[in-house]
Amino acid sequence: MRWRRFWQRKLRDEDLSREVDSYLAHELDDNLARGMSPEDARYAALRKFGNPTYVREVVFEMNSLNSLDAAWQDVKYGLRQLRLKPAFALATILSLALGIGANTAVFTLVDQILLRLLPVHNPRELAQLQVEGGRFGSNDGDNGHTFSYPTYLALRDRNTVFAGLTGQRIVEASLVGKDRSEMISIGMVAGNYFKVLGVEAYLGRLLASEDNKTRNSNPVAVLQYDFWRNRFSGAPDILGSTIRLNGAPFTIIGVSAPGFEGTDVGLPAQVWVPVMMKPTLFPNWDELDDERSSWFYLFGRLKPGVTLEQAQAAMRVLYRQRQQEELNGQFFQKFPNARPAFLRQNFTLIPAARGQSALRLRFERPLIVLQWLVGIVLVIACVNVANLLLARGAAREREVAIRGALGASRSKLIRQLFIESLILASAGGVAGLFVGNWLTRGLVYFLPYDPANVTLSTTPDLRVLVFTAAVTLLTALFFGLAPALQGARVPPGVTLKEEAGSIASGHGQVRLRKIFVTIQVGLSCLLLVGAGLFARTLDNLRHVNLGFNVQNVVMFGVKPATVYTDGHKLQMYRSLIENLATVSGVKAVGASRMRLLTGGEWDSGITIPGVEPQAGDQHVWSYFNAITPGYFQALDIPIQAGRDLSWRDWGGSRRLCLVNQVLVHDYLGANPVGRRMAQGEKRDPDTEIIGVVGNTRYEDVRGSIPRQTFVALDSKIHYLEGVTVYARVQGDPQQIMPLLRAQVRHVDANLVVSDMRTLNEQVNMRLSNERMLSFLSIAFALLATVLAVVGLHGVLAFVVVHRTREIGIRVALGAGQSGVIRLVLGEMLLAILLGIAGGVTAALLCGRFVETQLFGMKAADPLILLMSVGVVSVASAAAALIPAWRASRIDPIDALRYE
Amino acid sequence: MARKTRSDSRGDMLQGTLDMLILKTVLLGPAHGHTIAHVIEGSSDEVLQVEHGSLYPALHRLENQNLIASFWGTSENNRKAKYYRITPAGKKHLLRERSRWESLVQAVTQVLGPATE
Repeated sequence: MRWRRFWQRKLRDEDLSREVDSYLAHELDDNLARGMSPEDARYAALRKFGNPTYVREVVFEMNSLNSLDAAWQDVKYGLRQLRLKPAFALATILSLALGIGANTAVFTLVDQILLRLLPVHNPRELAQLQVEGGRFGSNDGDNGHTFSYPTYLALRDRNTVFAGLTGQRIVEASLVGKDRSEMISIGMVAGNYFKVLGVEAYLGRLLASEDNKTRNSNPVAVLQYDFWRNRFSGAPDILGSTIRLNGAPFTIIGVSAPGFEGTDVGLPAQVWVPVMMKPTLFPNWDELDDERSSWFYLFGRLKPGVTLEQAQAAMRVLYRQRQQEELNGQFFQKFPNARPAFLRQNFTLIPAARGQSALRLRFERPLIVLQWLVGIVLVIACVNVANLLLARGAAREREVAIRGALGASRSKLIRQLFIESLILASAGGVAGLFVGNWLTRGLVYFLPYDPANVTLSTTPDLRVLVFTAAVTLLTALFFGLAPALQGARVPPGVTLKEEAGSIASGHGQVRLRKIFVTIQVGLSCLLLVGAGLFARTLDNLRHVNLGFNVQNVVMFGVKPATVYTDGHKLQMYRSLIENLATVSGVKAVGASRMRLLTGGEWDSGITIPGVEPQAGDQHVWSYFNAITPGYFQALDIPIQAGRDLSWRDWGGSRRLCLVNQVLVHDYLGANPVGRRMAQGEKRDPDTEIIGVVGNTRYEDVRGSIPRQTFVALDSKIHYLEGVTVYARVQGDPQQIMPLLRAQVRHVDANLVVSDMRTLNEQVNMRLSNERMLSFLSIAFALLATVLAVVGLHGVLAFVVVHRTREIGIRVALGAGQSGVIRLVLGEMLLAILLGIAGGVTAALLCGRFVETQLFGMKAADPLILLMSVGVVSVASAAAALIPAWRASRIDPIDALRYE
Repeated sequence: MARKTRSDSRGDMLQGTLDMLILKTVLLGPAHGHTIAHVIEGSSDEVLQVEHGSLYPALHRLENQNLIASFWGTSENNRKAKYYRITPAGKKHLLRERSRWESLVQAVTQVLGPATE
């Protein structure tokens, strides 16, 4: 109501002035009727009415929102002031844009990876099932979150705490199109998946329990909304058409509601199929009935009123029952001594409102560290702007004094100064959004995932906008309030009498600015320590001996788009490797089942006659890889004893393997070549060790080098879904990549090539966290130091100008140059020392928090602490020296004539 | 942030009285500002003896409070004039204020007692 009047007040004013005219006309009529002369009649009417302007003013004000009106005037005044000093405005807006932008960028990722709830019905009711401990069988996926399908069915049907228990598994499969084949991510889900999550269909229908009753009988698929829009141009007639996944036809029955991308954050499903279709998609990876094979991720929706703790208690009982049943299975009949360890598994329920995410597990800590880093940068930027504002406040003392003398109240002056800060902050916030958007793209580049497979949005959404707006407001409060309070404190009488350069004024200012310098020096010291730690960590990791030569190696995945027979695969992989070896520029080429440095590994118990488990181990075991001839040459891994595999062995009946030195050291001792072993425990040792190779890293750069066994790829051909090819090349890898692609196509047009990159890039991807933290912390630390130096220099320059006369007198009285320099430096010495002390203390306190991100060092590294203190001291000295030098050059005559 | 407007300065009691007089005037039928001013002046030379202009902020305020409504019409002099009429809310308000006023007067009279020289 008030607002409507406010907007209409111009109109209402016109209305009122017509009304006044109407009154005057009527009064004039009356007066004329009484016989007055026209002139007298007019004056009498005006007298009777009083002052029309006054009446209009009263009514106009009645329709005003006074505070808003005044604020608007302040905004206009503020804008005018800022236009007068464009350099100042630019400097502050830039500082703020960097600070706010960095925060926006990091928050965009933090929000998506750590905070956002799944776009499903009541996400807080969701819980994920987790079990820690040995699986005693195969485990495919995140350790700790996988279950076998029979276990899922048992838990689903018997539990009393979930309104629904469902499961899913994201896998890669080929989508064969008219012009090209591509790998897409498929969600294999239980029939009740969408129902339990409460996700609706956008088109057609979603999967239901009937679709998942019997194996291989319901080849139906649901498309993810964005995938449907992008890959099928959002065609409305898509329902009923057929797509080929891993070569098998599936009928599209629906499109899911927009926004939903599955329960794996950062790894969205593009198509969903019933999990009972798994054998159709992966003929060699059926395992639907195998209770010793864990690969399915389980989620439940708690019944109303059931708490997570209650549900966990009930599910633990149920899981224990299930374990007892599994103990009756073949495996535990054969290996009864594995039972106690199996029963030591720890079953828990974890909240799953935000879905599951390998990304989150891996990036939670680094992202939180980053958010703190950018928070500190923002504080430094704020302090810097506050400093600039103070300097400006000094220049505006007279203006403020005059306004005060003319009757502006202190609160009005503060409001005016604060509104200027608000304008600056808003401009900084808007600019920060752009900077943030740009930085987010940079950040996503550090994530070790193919951008095509990870949908992290880099454009700010409403949540990010709200965050940025809140940060902007807080920023304005933070940097604007102190200078505004300080600026409005000017006593008009004193200031107006004074002239620039007098000794008395600016005392409070200098104190406040010294505090700012202390904060800036301290924070930049803290950031420098952080930068040092992260940079050295990265350096340490880069100098880890991987055991293979990462230079000049191209690697890529190869996978048939359709299902091949074992014989066909055997022939195809050999021809692939032999043909790739003929590509010009390729020096050596080989392939393996497992890809290096991805965090993924394949381990298994082994049997070597006469070898017992090591202390602390349950059994004799090793990491495994299956390789083709040429693999060791391609990676430059030395054969230290015996011989390599050769194509003559390929497809033969003899089972051959090589082992690494760690395995020899742990289990075999002298003369390993020629001994026999087997994969699996208590097996007939059917495999001959033909060679020993040098130690290499496997899944990660960190940690110790594991025991490794390299079996021939042909012995695992039945289970082979695809391989990673490694090619050692001569010349520019980028130029050879297309040749390799072409050659793969030439060998078999049905092969899908994926993730082609150099091995060096793969190492970088594995070190992405460290690279991200080290790169950004160095950048932020430098920025912080520069800002601190600028702030320090500003304060000292201010001090020198304000004390020119005093210094002049001192010089005139015989003070030497060094004495003047000492005087000026003495001003800031305490502030700097306090800042450094605070920064070092903070660094020591925060150290524990980042220790897990470090490698090969402690958080309290004396060298790095010393270097940071050194950098800050040198930078501070440099910043102080120029004003000090200028002060020492002050000519007493000039100084005293100054006024 | 209700700041006292200048029209308030004559005191709440007087303002309340003026409101009542206006409402009472338009209760009889729609009237424009000039008429209202003269009617009030005629019935009470206490309140509106100074300037007729000060009536207008009061009219404006009453309209904002939905106690009266306005429309432009043609006056008895054949001139354009803004007419005010009372709304149902205005009638209720007048009734309420009137009884409050009467009880106030009664109370004051009781305190003062019979007029004695």
